[in-house]
Amino acid sequence: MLDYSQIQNEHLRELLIHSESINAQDEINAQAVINNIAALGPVQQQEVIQMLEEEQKQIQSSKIAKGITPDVEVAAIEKNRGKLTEIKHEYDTNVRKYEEGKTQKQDEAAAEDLLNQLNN
Amino acid sequence: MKTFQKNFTIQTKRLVYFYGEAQQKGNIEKAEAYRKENDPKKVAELKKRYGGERSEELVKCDLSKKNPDPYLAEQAQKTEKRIKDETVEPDKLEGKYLNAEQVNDNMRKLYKILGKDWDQVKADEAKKAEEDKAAKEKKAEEDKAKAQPAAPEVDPNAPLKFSEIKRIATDSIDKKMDENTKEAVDAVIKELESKIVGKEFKKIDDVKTAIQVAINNMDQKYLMALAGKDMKFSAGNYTFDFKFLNAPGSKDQKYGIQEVNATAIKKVDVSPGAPKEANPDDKGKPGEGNGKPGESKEVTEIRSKVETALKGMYEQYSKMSKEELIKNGDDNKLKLAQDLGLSLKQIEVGLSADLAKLDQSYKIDQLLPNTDTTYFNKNGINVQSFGNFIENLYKEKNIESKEGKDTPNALQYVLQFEGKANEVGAKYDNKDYVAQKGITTYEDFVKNYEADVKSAVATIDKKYVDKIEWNKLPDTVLQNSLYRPVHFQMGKDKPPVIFINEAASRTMWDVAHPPKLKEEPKPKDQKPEEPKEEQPDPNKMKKLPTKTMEAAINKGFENSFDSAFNNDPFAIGTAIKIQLQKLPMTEQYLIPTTYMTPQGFKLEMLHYGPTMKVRVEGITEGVARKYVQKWETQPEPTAQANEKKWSKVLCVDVYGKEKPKPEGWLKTAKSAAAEKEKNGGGPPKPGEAGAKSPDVKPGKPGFEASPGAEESPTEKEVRGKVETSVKKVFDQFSNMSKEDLIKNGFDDRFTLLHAIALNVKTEEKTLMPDLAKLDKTLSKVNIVPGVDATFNKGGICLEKPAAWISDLYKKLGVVEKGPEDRANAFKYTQEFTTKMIALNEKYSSKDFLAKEGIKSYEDFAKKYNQELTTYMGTVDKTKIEWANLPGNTLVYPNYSYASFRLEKDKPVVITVNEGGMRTLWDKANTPKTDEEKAKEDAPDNVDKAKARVEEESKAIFKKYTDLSAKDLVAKGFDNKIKLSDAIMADFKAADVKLLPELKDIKKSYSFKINNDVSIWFNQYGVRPVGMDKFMDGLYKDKKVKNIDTEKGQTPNARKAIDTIMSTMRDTSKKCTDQLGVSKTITTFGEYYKFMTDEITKSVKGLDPKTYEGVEWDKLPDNMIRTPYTAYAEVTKTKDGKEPDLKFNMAYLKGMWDSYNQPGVKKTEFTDLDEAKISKEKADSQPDSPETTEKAKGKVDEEMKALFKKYNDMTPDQIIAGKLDNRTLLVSAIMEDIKGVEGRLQFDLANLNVSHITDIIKDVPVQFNKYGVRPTGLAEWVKKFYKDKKIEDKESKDTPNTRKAEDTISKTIKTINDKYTNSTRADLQKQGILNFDDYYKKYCADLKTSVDALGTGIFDKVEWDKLPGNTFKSPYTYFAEVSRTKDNKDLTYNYNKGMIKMSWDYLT
Repeated sequence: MLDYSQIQNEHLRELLIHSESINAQDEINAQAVINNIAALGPVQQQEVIQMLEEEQKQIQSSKIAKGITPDVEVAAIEKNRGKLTEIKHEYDTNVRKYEEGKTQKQDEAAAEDLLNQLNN
Repeated sequence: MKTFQKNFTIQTKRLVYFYGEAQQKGNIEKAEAYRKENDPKKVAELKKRYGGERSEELVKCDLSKKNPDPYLAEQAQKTEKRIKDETVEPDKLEGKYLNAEQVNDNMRKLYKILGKDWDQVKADEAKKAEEDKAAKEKKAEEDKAKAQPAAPEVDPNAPLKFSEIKRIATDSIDKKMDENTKEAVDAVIKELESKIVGKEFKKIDDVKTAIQVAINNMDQKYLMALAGKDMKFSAGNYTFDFKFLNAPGSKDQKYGIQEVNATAIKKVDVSPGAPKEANPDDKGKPGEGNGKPGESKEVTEIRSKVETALKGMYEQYSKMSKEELIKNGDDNKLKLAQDLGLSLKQIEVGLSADLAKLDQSYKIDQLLPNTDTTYFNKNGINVQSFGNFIENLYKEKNIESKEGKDTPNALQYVLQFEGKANEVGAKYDNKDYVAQKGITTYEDFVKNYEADVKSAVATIDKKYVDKIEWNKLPDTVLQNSLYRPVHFQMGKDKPPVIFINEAASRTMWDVAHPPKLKEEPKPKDQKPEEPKEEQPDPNKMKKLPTKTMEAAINKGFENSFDSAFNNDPFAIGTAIKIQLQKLPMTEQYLIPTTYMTPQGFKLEMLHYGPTMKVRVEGITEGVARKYVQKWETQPEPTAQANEKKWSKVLCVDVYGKEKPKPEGWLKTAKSAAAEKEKNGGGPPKPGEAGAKSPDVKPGKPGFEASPGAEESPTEKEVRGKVETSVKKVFDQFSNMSKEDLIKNGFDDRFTLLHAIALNVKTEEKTLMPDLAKLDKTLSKVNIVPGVDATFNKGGICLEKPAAWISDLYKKLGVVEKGPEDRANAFKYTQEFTTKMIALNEKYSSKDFLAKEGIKSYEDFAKKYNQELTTYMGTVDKTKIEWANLPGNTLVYPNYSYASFRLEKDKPVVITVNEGGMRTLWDKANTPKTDEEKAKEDAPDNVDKAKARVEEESKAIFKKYTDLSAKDLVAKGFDNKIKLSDAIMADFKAADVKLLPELKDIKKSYSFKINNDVSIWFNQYGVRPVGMDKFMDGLYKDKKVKNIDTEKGQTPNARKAIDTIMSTMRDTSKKCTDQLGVSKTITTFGEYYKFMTDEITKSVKGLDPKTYEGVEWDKLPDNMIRTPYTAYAEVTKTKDGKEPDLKFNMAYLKGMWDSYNQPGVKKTEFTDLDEAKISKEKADSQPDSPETTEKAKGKVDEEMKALFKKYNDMTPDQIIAGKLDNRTLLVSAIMEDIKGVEGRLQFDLANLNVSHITDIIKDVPVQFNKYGVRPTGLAEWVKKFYKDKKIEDKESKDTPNTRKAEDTISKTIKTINDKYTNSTRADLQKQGILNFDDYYKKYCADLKTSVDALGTGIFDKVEWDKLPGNTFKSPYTYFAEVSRTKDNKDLTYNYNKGMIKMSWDYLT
């Protein structure tokens, strides 16, 4: 996993995380590049930002060329998100039902006790 | 009680549950609103959020797994597994969108910023990798040597038991071995060990299944870590390999492996290092020469070169990844075969000098496993098939071939063609068949073979042709691979053009005709014998009576000298032939005659008669053949009587070496020299009879601007070939009738250009071996009238065929089909050519190369391509009429410097033409001659002059733009004629001032001074161009009416001026059209005389009625005076005198510099400005009602849905969604609007101007190409809350946010007011000529003003109440300004749609 923590500029950090060119390098090289960028002064970092913004434009244009519009991307994310929600929901439901069952048993037991007490 | 209590509990829980449901529903709606959002930036945010949610869930599960309650722990574990299995990590959602080249370029830039050299780093890495590889291979060799000999033969059905398994390194794993991969690899090996080591399997297939099952049952995390990677290991006598699926791309989205390959390890060589004994059988078949033993050293060297080159070619493809192959389109067998064929041809060109030395075909049995037998001979390299290689490559890379999927019928035709060609090939492969046909020479063999192929191919059923999917073929051309024995290319409605692959036919011939036993070498002084078939038997011939012959031939020469082409051997030959034909001809006569033409061609007439033969030396084969064709196909009228007898009267032979020739009675070289000597004329001049051949020095590398006197024999030969070939191409079209041109669609300039380009490319292919011999660029002006060409080892580059086309149309009276239905496609093409011309100027400069540090041709071509591609990427293609283009694709043919291919929604693909690129490269690398230098201006001088001209011109225009409407009227300038007179008088005065400063300027320059006017200047003065537009603009800005026509003050004078102007324009156009073909006008002086004569003639020749009714007394000086902006100031007085013309030398010089071939010079900034202006003009055209309606329909639909969503909300939903806050509600609507804009981007892209729709009551919605903007939202929100009975919490929750928003909005409004209150003239003064300028300036101003507000306005913003804790000013206004609490920098999201609206309002 690459460590971006030394990059202070949030925008730059975002761009680096999404840089395909850097991610295409092996991990050691990529990390070295990131470290080097972190050591740059603000003016040079600005140059890096410009370069990485250009790269993002290249990526965007390539995506559009492949028919991957933001819609398509959103759909892909949503599909996974939907699946995640479904799994989560199922888990929550199971847990809720289980806990409800447990509570219900406790309630019933408590009610039973109460009734017994009242009857007695 | 019990029941009540129970029900109560359940009820309560249900309530709680439903409440939760409602809350969840609100969230879902919010998510839904978010989902519709289309902004690409937001996609990243959404993904980030999804990633966050996913890891949050995983963390939760991880914690719950430790829950003491076993049920909950189990649930957590199961859920964790499901999340990992069924959802994708956010990073895996992202594909790879940049190609290797882009990545490299980006890294190069990045490294540059870091102060490092990326290429060097890569080179070092590659070197290290190479060394590592070598070390690895060495080790493997050593291990192999140590290995036990002779592993037993492997039986696929024998029981198997493995004692161990051993992983083999693979690039995909070992190159990127991180911790996760390492862990996964170890786990896989461990798993496999446990599943196969020590176990017994009945057959190898069982082992494969066991491996597959074992791996697919492993923990998903290992399979994911290895996704897309290859793994290999050995066990026993087998190696096993498999590839891990990359789930998002795999069929059922699963990780794991699909199949396992098992390869038996072959027997190892028992005696490593022992010298190989020659195999006695390994001598090769006669003629094939594959026998390495006994092969000459030279052949072995050539063999090695061929093998190395071929290996390189195969390896290049083997090393490519699946993705790269797919990207290149090589996942199509036909395309891959075509590419391999091209590579093969390149190798042939590279090795042509070596191959030429071969006297037979040599065989390479199997260069690499899976490659086919290959032959090489003097004609090239003949690979029998690429089929095996391709099959294997596809198998290795797991590629499914796409061939024929889109083009099944095209494929059918190829198969039919090759089937027919193969049938013929099979016959010609049979020695007996060849002998039976009486073929004794290779040349006859090829000729017959080609003829038979042509006949066979002609029998292909038409149905195969009819169904070809032309539009899906690259350049609508169908062709098979170049490596095939017969290659063809076919265009729509055209027969196939057939090329015999001589490497293959030579192989056929050589195999059937092995060389005879070596003959004893002849004594050196013995002259080589003439080939028998070329030498008629003199004994069977009679000598023609000399005197009769002499008279006829002399007459022929005389006539030829009288003709316009007296230097042309063809003309001479024709003239002679005509005379000879007049003689009685019944037998063959021997007429040993030589003649040296003034150009240095040696013409030798060997004999004549029914098979007259003339030998010409110094003329290229192509030229000669052309003459033969002409003579054969166009018998002169005088020959009519003897037509039959003379149907084949001439055979032209060409040879380059000096051969002994019989002395004739005509002037020979020797006799001519002797004669000259006798007359005291000194040594003969080049080209004169007896002159020494000038072609003794080899050409220097570089650019040869014109055929020089010092051309080497090779260059001369290549030049001849190129000239013949290119002329042939053009002749093909110029020989067409008008009807044929139209029938073929050639009345469309682009179709014709395509056809020319295609034909030239075909010729280029044939000429490549010759062109490869050139080490510099040669050029030919007027290769056909009006067309120039350059050629070099990269190919041929044509210049200016447009003029030739115009001339052709004119000659034949063809009405050119204009691009009416493709006007925008044409505009795009124009942008391309304009930029290309600008780049050519730049790239042919040595200074530019030095500045950019370009050292190699490859970098040069790449950079040119990149720059052109980048520029074209910015050109608007949204309006291109795709439906009217063949294949919905716009293609610019590759005949000059570059071509492009553009498909809708795809980036433009630019291919440079190597012929053109090398021309520029050679130009840039050729030192300038003093003459050239003398013709150039020093940039400093031009800048200085431009500054002065600009200063003076600006002052003149300012004088008039500063005048108020009242002043204009008072001075009589509300009459255009008077106004233009006054301005031109100022320019004449400026000339007086400026001429001394301009006298040293050698070329003409122009620049745009304002929206309408360009200023031209040169040594003759300064002229504004576009004055009419300027005056129109001035009148419009000042709201002044032009009374010369509108108020009828001088309408007839205006009419007369317009007539004179258009007469001059027409005449100029006619003259300019002739320039391209005229050889006589080569200097400005000649041009000036030509133009002024013609214009004078035409203006003076105007019908006197032109001046009828002219309002003489209302004109300054009572005379007509045309503006001195163009060709001439024409004055005409009332009396009957002829008009007087005072020519505008500065303008004509500008015209000459622009039109004339040498010295075209326009500054680049002008071109760009002009392009921008014309683009802007096109962009301001009103939209058609259809376009508007279509876009409006879409906007209406989206807006209705959007507002319905909010209107349908219940108060609870509004509150749950936190929309009971005006700021947040507007923000949510605007986020939705962004989504709408994303969805409508293609529907809106065609709009030129802004429109409005009132589909939503009280909320007019404006839209244009940049977006959609509702207005009056504030009122709508108020009404919305009122209707829903909701209290706006803004003042309670986010009052300070609102304040900050208001401050920003107010500031933005001030800026907008500043702009919208400006006039066009104000903006022009600021350098704002079009919307792009406006947008740039507007945004910069806006940012400066808002930044100046300081961070104080955000101090009290209620960050925690804002979505994403982010402040955003509403996107309803010209920019959305945002920031977070921690990051104080403001982010601007400019609203181009709104800014365009304000520009549209202004203009």
